[in-house]
Amino acid sequence: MADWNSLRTYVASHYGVWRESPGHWLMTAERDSDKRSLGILHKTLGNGSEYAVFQASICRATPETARRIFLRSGELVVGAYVNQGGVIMWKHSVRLDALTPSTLHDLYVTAMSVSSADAEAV
Amino acid sequence: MADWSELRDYVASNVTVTRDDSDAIWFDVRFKGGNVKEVGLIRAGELGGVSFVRVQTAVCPESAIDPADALNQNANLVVGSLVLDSGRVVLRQSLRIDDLQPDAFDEAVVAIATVGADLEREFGHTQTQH
Repeated sequence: MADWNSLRTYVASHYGVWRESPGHWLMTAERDSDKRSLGILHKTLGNGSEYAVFQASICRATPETARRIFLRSGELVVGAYVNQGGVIMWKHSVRLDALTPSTLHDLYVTAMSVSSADAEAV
Repeated sequence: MADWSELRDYVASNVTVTRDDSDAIWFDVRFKGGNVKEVGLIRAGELGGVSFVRVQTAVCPESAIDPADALNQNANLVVGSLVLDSGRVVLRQSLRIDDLQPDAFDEAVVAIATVGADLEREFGHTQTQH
């Protein structure tokens, strides 16, 4: 994707955006009959490089779930876990100029499978 | 990069490799002032038929950070996240190999080394001075 607006346009036309917060550059995508959601945030490094940060919720954060899920964090091939405002999420970032439609789809599938499996395990 | 071999060759031709085995290579990133941070490039396997590598650096022993704090810290990071790897907390970023551009790889390495060194200092450890 050339930039964040290109990504917004692509996601809106191929996945559907059902919630967007311009102040936080947050979109949530869902596709076909899959009702799970994937948040995409726009972040910029100090050198100006733009990134898309993908996040999929797993469970509520408690001291017990945080420990269990952090112990399992090293097993992931892609991404890691994060506590975002009291919710444990799977997270992975990709530089925007390296993000292709196929990569976006792969990340969507990965996020959905990871968050589903981890929600059941925690 | 076409594959793991090409990525290894790229790294080996641009930095001095400090450790090397079939699925991982390690090298020092040198900062202004002489400090260095060792960074590893580790074959991560495949997901959905796509090969990934991990760029990672050591931060602290598992006992030095509360898991909840590590997960909170991850919310602030654009590139890389703290994960547990063989009893050590490391800062790690996964990268897809097949469409990885050299400048994107270099940027990830510098980000992991820089932020990893900051986090290592924050959790009570010092960088190696060469």
